[in-house]
Amino acid sequence: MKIKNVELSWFRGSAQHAILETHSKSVVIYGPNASGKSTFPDAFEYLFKNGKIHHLSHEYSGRKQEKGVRNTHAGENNSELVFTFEGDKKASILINEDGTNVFTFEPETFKDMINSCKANQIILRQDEISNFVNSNKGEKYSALLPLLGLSELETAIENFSNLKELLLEESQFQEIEHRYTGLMEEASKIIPSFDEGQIQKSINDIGKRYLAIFPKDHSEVIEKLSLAIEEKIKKVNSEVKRYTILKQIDDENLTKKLNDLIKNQEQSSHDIDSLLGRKLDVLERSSEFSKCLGEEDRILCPSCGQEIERAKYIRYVESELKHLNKVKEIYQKAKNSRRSFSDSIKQVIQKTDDEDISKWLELVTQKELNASFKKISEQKIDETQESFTQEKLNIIKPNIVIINDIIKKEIEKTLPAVEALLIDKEAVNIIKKIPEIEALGKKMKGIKSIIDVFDQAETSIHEELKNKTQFIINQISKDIMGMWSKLHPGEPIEDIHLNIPDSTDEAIDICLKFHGVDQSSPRLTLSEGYRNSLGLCIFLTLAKISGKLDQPILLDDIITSQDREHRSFVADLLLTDFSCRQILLFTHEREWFSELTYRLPHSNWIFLKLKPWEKPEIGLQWIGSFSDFDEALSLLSTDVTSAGNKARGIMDTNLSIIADKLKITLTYIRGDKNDHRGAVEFLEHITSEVEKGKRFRKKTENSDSYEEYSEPINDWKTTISLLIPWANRASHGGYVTNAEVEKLIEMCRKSLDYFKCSDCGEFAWISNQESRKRLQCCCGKLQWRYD
Amino acid sequence: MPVDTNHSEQEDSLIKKLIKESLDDFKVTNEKAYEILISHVNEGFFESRQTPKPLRDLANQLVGTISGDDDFDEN
Repeated sequence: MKIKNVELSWFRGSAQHAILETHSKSVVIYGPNASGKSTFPDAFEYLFKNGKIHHLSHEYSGRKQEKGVRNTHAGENNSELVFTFEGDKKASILINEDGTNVFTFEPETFKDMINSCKANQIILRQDEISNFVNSNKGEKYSALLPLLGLSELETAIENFSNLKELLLEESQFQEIEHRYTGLMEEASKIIPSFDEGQIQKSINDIGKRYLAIFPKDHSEVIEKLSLAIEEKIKKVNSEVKRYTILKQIDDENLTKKLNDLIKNQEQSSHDIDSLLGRKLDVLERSSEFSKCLGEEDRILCPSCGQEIERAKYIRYVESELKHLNKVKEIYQKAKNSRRSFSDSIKQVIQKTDDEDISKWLELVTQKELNASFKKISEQKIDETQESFTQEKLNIIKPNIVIINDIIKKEIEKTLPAVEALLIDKEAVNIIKKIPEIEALGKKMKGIKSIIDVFDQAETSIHEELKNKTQFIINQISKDIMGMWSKLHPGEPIEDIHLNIPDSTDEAIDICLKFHGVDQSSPRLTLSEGYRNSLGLCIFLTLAKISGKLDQPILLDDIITSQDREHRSFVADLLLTDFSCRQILLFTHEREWFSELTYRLPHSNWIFLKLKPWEKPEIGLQWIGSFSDFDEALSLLSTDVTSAGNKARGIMDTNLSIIADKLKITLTYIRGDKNDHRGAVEFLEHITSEVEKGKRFRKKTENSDSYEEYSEPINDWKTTISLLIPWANRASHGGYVTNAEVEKLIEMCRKSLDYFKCSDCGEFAWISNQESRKRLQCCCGKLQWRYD
Repeated sequence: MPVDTNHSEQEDSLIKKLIKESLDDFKVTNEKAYEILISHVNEGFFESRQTPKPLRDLANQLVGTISGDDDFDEN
């Protein structure tokens, strides 16, 4: 599934037409910041994610990302993306002004292949690396899961979980359960169990009380029974009412109140008579006595005339007072009794005025009771009256006894009948509801059985997900560590592995040993550059083991935070571990781009450069030739010193890479100066090495033997002689002529071209990079010995 | 609509196998629900993220398979 070319129109940074030709090779694309190079990874993401770009998923881009995916100056032009893959398979996308799109595939079946591609396994961007490493363990789990190829399991779990909730909602399970529980509670009070025999027995028992003939059909029995009970209840309704009133009359306790009244009235009447007599006597004698009472200890009693002690007399008076108070109390009691009795009588008489009671009293059977009520009523019992005369009591008492007896009997007679009827009514109602209860129970069971199956499915998928995740992360941990060792050889960071924490299985940690000490996160000790490097290792590991080796890999600005040495290792890694994959590498690092042009075989890689982006109407622009020298030459007419300076810069960068590749040993200079060696110094050392002999060799024509390749020496020396005066002058703003700089550029280009094989077009160090003795180009014509 | 319940197990992905195994109990207890779910499994319904609408539709189909409604008329 190698990409042959991508054509873009009015998509992101592209204007009318931009084409990326790869010829199915890997590509390194250099472009300064904002040159529009990310337009290509965006285009691929749009293709693989079915019209979505993750970094454009925000409120400002529009519902269909139309404000982000289309060139701002597209106007009425449609945006178009055409991807051509090996085998002339094509995927085209037309994006309308409103963001709606049309995907077309040739052949149509190619759609399935595109849909099977996971953008996250194909495209890696710098910000994604740092976001991933700095994310929490739950986010890492979510980000890695699709890359582990396990997101389908997670999705299935989520679908089952949502489906469960919706099933409960749609089936109104809660309402059913609530009604079922209520009915069951009600039923359990009446029918001990729901087995058929028990229900039949209950029906028979109740039926005997209400039905003379039992219909054969069960439901007919219930229906008839229900009607019979209803009929009875209608009748009983007045009985119930009467029963309630009679019960209230009985509760008035007329007999007891009457007895209390009689007793208290008798006592009161007796004491008050006695008191009156005494009081008169005392009052008379006291009046006499008061006339002759002196200071003596002994006095004559005013009542009997005998001499008595003064104290004794006083005690006597006190006793009389006490007695008087007691009588007063009895009098009050009698008064209360009268009030209570007369109140009750009033209530009872009032109740007999009720329509149901009065009609009932009119019945012949209640003649005696009715007469008693009437007699009581005729007595005009009033609480205000001082006392009941014996005559009155003689009328009241027997009638109260009659009322009491008849009512008590009536209550006893009515009570069980009413109660039983109500219980039967309830029982029949419940029996009528049994089909509903059973249906509700059946429905609940049905819903629960589906929920149980979903739970079971969820659990088994969850278990599988957990085991698979564990298995895969154990496997990829080894590969991550392997890649890390290539990017950071000999560094004391070991045992890098992914880990599922014990506390939860929906999280992934990145653990490592830092100088021998276990670390549960790279954020604890690793620098930003190292963390990004680690993220890159994880992505490349996942991309490598994805099993779809024919899918391309797009790396967008992935080495921003790496130093030169580690970038170099990234190039090594691409060469050793990804030689079979098509890689599209985008960078804004000119130096790294240069290094890659010298490191990566031109037979498999092409190198492209983008011009700085000017305006939307122009869009992406390629620099015609990849050569930096062409760019320098193009400056000659306008800015000659810049052209000279650029030529020097090219030589500084490239010769440092070449010296490194050829393993040229340079004397150590203190501090940072090592990093600031210039082109002249590198070229002098390379020339000196070649002059020593046996270093730079070239295969002789028509033979497999090698000869010294000393031809470049003179040109290199000439270049050194030009670099010192002219390039230095150009770099420091001095005066240089067009002719001088043109000559300088020509010699610089020629000097570098000596390292490239004229037959295979590859540099002299491309092959045998692992050899301990020599390097060579692809065809072996050009060789550099360093042993 | 004819239901494809004879999907060959050999063609099934791991996830389909897992779900089908879990549904086995339904073969006897709720055959209608079993058929509905199996046809969804074969279509890959559960592997792709579903919006509430198709999930609700499926929930309603399943509710329809539960006996109880047919046996009892609340009116």
